[in-house]
Order: sequence, then C-alpha cells, then structure tokens
Amino acid sequence: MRSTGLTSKSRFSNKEKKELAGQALSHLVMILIALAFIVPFLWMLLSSFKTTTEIIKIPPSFFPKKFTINSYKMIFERLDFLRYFLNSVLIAGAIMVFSMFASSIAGFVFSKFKFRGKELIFVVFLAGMMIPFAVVVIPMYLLVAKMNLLNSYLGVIIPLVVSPFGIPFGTFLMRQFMEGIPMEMIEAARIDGASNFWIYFRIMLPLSGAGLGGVGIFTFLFMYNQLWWPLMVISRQKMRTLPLGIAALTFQQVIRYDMIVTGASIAIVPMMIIFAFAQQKLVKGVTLTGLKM
Amino acid sequence: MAGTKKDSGLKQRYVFPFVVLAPLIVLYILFVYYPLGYSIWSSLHLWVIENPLKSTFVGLRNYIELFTANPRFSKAFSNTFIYVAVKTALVIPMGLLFAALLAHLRRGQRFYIFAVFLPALCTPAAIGVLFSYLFQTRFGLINHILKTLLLQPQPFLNSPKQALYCVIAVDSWAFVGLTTLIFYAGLLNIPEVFIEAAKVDGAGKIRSFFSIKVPLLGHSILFLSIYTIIIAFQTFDFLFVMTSTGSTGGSSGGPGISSYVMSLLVYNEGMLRGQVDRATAVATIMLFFVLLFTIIQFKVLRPKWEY
Repeated sequence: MRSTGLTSKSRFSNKEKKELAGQALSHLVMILIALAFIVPFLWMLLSSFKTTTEIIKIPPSFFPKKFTINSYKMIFERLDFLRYFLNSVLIAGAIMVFSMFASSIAGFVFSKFKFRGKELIFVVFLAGMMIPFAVVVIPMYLLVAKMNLLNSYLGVIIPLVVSPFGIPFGTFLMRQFMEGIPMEMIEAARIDGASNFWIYFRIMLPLSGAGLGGVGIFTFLFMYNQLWWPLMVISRQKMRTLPLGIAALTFQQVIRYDMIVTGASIAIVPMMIIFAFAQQKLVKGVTLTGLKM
Repeated sequence: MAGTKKDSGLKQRYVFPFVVLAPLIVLYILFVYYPLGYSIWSSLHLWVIENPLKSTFVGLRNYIELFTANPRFSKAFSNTFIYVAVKTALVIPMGLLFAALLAHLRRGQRFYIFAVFLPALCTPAAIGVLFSYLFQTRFGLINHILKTLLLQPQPFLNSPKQALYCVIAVDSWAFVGLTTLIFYAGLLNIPEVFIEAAKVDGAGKIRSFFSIKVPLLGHSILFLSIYTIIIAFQTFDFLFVMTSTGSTGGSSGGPGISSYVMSLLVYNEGMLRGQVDRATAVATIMLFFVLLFTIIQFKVLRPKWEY
C-alpha cells in the first residue's frame, strides 16, 4: 500500500494533514471546555491558601501572594469541620453498608425465587423511587421527631436507606446483575444441602462482586452529598454533616469567603482523589446504568 | 422421609423471601408510603399543630389558596418550570456537543472526561458556595473576567432578575458531565457499519453526525431529557446555599422571593413557618407533575424496556 506511486501518496498525506488539523482543532476546543470545568476548582484550592485580606482583594490574584494554611487551621480548630467530615463519612458509610447488604439479598430474592406476589412487591419497591423527596420530607420529619430521633445518626440514616438511591436503586441493579447467574449453580448447591444464606454468601455475592462494588460507591457518593434531609433532622452543631457545615457558612451576617472556599475544598478534594483513582470504574458504572435504563 | 425433605425445601423457598423482604417492606411503608399518604391527607386539612388528628377537613381549599392568593407559590411554580426548561435546554445539547468532540478525538479522552465529570460527583452545597464566591459582585472571579474583557460587571446573585439563572447555570455546569458521559458511551456503541455507509453515500462528518448518529441516539436523548426534567423539577441544594437572604434564620430563595422554586417553598412553609398543610399541598402538586413525567417516560420508552 505504501509504495503505490507518488500521486496517491501525496493525496494520502494531504488527507492525513486535514485529519491532523481536525484533531488539533478538536483538542483546542476541548481544552477550552475543560478549562471551564477545572478553573473554578483550581481557583478554589488556590484561594484556600490565601490570607483573609487577599481573598477579598480587588482585583483578585490568581496565585496566593503569601501562602498560608490559616484558613484550614481556623476551620478545623474553631469550626469543627473535622467532626462534620467524620459525621458525613460515618453516615454515608453506614447507609452504604446497609444498602449493599439489603439490596444484594433482596436482589437475590427477586432474581432467583418464585413466590406469589413477587412482581407486586417489586413494583412497590420501584414505585417508591418516583416519589419526590419534597413529598415525604415533612411527614418524615414529624415521624422522626415522634420517634425521638432528631439530632441522632439513626434519624439521618434510616430514612435515607430507603430513599430512592439507597435500597430501591440498589435492589434494581443487583437484580439485573444476579439474573445472569445460572440457576443450575443454585439448584446444585441446594441438592448438596446448602442453606439460602450459604448460597447468598458463597455463590451470589462473589459472582456479583463488581455490581455490588458499584452500588456501594454510588450509594456512598450520593449520601455523602446529601443536604436536605440532614438539614431537617440536625440542629445541634456537633451533629452537622459536611454539606450542612458548608451551608451554614452562607447564613451569616458577614459572609467569610475564606471559610467558604476552604470548606468547599474540604468537601471536594476527597472526591477528586476518589475520582482520580477510580475513574475507569466510575465512568463504566455510570454509562452502564445509563445505557441500561 | 422424602416428604419432610420436600417440606424443608419448600420452607426454604418461601420462608427465606419472607424473612428477607418483611423488614424492608416495614421500613418502606413507614418511611415512604406512610409519609406519602400523610402528605396527601394533610394537604386536604386545616392542620392543627397541637393535635394533627383533630385537623378539620377542608377539601381543596389549601390548593385553591395556593393558586389564587399566594404570590410565593405563583413565583415558585413558574420558576420551577423555567428552571426545568432552561436546564434541560442547556445540558442536553451541550452534552451532545461534548460527546461528539470526545468521540472525534483519538486520544486524551480520559483527561477531558475527568474535567467534565468531576463536578457531577462533588457535593452540590460545596459547589454552590464556591460559585457564590465566584459570582461575588466586587471581588468575584467572573466579574473580574468581565471587566478584563471590558464588559459591564453584573450583579448576578444580588439581582432578582439574574439570581435564578445564575443558579441554573451552576447546576447545569455540574450536571452536563453526566449527559456527556452517557451520550459518549452511546456514540461509541453505534456500529461502524452505519457510519461507513454514510461515508460511501458522500455524507461529511457533520452531516453524518446529525442525520445518522443523533437519530440513533434518539432513545438516550429522550431518556436523559426526561430524567433531567424530573431531577430539575425537584431542585433544592444549589438554590438553598446560593440564594440565602443573609441572616434571616436560614431562609433561601432571594433576593426577595425572586428565586423561589417549589421544593424551597415546601421547606420554607413547612419548616420555617410551620404551615404543614400548605407545604404538603405544594408537595402534592409536585407529586402530580413528577408522576406525569414518569408516565410519559414509561410510555415513550416502552419498546426499550426489555432488560
């Protein structure tokens, strides 16, 4: 192919040039777009190392003139952001573990058992996903207040576990994943006298590990970001989650922008790290569920 | 002997689902269906805080009052639809454009996807407050850029005319990564044959994008549009942190009531004013529209629902 005479070779390289120019142009456009997404975060991180006066300077400076970690010191020592962060991780982590367990075992039941009313119960499960949170939020608050669970971890955790992106979505996905596991394996184990719990732990879970991991990551991220429900349940400062602590920064007489950029950094940097390390997995998870819908 | 074995097998098959599902169903009824019923019930009553059971039935009065005599609701109602329309009109075409660019590139997708999708993973409250800094009128980055380009600085979140649109812009900025990713995956899934066939027919890149790829993505476009509509209809977080009216005890939707949406109204009426009946009436109106969108989603997307 390469030695097919001069004319066709030059035409080929012309085409190649055009292709290269097209690639370069697309890269240029894409870099500009990427900048629109990166610069706000970059600005946030750089600003979090500026002094209290530099942050409200006109005109603003890109790099901190005097590099300081005072904002971080202040936000951790005076505003208890470490506690907020730990509260968030604890709550999101508990919801994640509970949802992973419940949705995998429910997925097992919905994919591998036959019993009367199965379809109906599954529909009841999924229908709950369509109810807007705004519809249930006030009665749920009254209920949780009556149960004496205001300002408690359980009061935040339990309602979120059964909210759309807790067990319902997890069950839906786990059922999809487990349907692919051959029924013969389960029958064979049953003939050998295996109990359902044995089958669940030794066959279903190992064979749907990837799906379960995906459910776990997404549940955690989603719950870590929650604002509205914790806002309803929590009024004691010590119990605040990170989003609540950040939101509280804007409800001040004088808004401290140094605290705002630092608080935002504390919430966002862990996400950056998780995303950087698990990008392929997360992207695959999103596109798979997106395309399946 | 054989009978007992069969018995225990049956038991295993029927008792296990019951044991597993019963606690979940209890939780579900308690925290999903009971609140749902309560919402609808209290929206039809004059709710009494001391003893809700003694509330008097008033029929649709709460609803009629909302539609005829409540300026906050009228504002929230129209703003919600503006929010939905503008956000959907932004994130779907932009997602398509970004996805097309990504699919055209031969390398470097990983970095671009990282940039575009990162905001979608981040805490909305954090992004919201970050942008309230960037939108700050005097020392914010965005007005600084406008001034550098010799353009007029804008009041942004301080302006009753601009605040809602600023929030929509930020929300869309954070959301477009999702539409981009799903469209991108959809584009990669299109069999090469179609594109080759178009090439043979003499269609250029742009032509083949619009007349081959976009129609083949039709299902994804519809699904994501309706999904975006449903999500945007319930928007809360960005508005809550970006439109707080200073130190008024945690009230958002400002300046004035200019950026009220229905979710915010539910919160403000129910939690800050203690008007549970009015708040749940707003919530029930939201339920009506979300169910409507969901039914459309099922109707439109039926043929693909075979998984």
